[in-house]
Amino acid sequence: MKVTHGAPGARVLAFGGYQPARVVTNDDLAATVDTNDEWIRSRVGIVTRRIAAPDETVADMAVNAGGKALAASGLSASDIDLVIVATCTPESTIPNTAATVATRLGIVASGAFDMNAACAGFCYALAAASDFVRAGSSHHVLVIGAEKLSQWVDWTDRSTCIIFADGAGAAVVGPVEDGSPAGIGPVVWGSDGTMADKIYITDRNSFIHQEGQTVFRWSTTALHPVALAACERAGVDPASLAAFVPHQANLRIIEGIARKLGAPQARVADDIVYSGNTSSASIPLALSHMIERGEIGAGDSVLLLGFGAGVSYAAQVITVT
Amino acid sequence: MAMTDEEILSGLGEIIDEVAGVPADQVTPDKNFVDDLDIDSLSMVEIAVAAQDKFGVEIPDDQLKNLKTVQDVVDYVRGEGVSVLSAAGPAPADGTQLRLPAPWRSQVSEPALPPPRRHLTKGAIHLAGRLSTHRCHWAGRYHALGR
Repeated sequence: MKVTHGAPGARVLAFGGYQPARVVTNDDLAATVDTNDEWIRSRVGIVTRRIAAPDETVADMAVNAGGKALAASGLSASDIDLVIVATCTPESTIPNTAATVATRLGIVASGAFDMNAACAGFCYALAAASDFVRAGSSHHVLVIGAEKLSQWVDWTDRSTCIIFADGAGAAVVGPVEDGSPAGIGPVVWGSDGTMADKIYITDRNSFIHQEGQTVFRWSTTALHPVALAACERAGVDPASLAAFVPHQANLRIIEGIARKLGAPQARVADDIVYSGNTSSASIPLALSHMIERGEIGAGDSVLLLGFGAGVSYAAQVITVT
Repeated sequence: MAMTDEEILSGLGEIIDEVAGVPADQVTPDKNFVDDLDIDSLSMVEIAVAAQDKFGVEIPDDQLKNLKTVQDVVDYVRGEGVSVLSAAGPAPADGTQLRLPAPWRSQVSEPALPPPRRHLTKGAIHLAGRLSTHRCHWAGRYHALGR
């Protein structure tokens, strides 16, 4: 039996992000649930979030973000041979989202699959894409994190409706150029199914529930070792990180993890402030914004950390191209 | 060398100032977290996590809910036999400058965003309507399959 050998390393060629047009402010929410702007800003860190239109789908958002990433990469649709959509809020499981997204982007006959690792989804998908390129299963992979959490939220539940939002982020993954170092480091990932009941939907006719305090405690105590292990596996000193981009769950969780990394020079992503918590979209969306604003650039080492329902988590270091 | 109650109280004051914005000099032993310091249950978890980093003492949720006053926490930390040499876990990066805008501490100039198309009340009703329509449709198909 033969095996394939791909590239010596993989890298992200470009990012793209999409947010729905509709802005929902804290005051908007305070009109219908018992909360207020100051409380949300101080406890969660969100000022505004974006909510998709009622007929706007996860696939719509994925196509938008994916299209931007593809355009920014300089590649054409025919260069993409695999599309992965990380999502836990697809409109349907049959068919998947990725095949439809590929077709709408003019990508023909590529591999296509959805994957669900909740808020760790993008990091899981990025790791898979990197491995496929290195193993020779794919040459260029379009990785998209896309979520419409608003259709799974109880808008009368102030513990969740202030947090979750909609959006999509995408990355084009491909081989490194000859002789260049890898641009996507080894992943460190894991899960803990004993905490499966901490963030959940009971069935398809239900809403998202989460035990906020338990999730807070877990994420601010158990995850920095994972992030540091990813740095070690990549051979990157945390002190040299240009940025730390964790899942945008809650600004105080982000702070709580960041202060334990020993990375004082790293810019800590705060995209949640104007994006809300968009699950698997949050990391690529944050990265696309940071690159657009010039906050990170070519050659910068960036630590990614996804974590969420499952519970599941994944971290890797990437180098911005 | 065991920490004195004064040292524990001082450390706790720093934590509460950081987590809840209550000035450390207002963190006196008699203060009740909820009634006097306006600290909610999620903030208590943050305080417990920070206390674990600072004092090396874990405060599990089932113990945390019984700690009503500042003195209760001081007693708990002292009772766990904390010493300045026994702090567990990796040391937090002292002096770490996190480049966060801290929107709750200052005015944030928001980017030019399009105004909301409709008030959320109508939006929520619209969302709820779409949601119930979506779910009823889905449920109908599900039952039609005989499951």
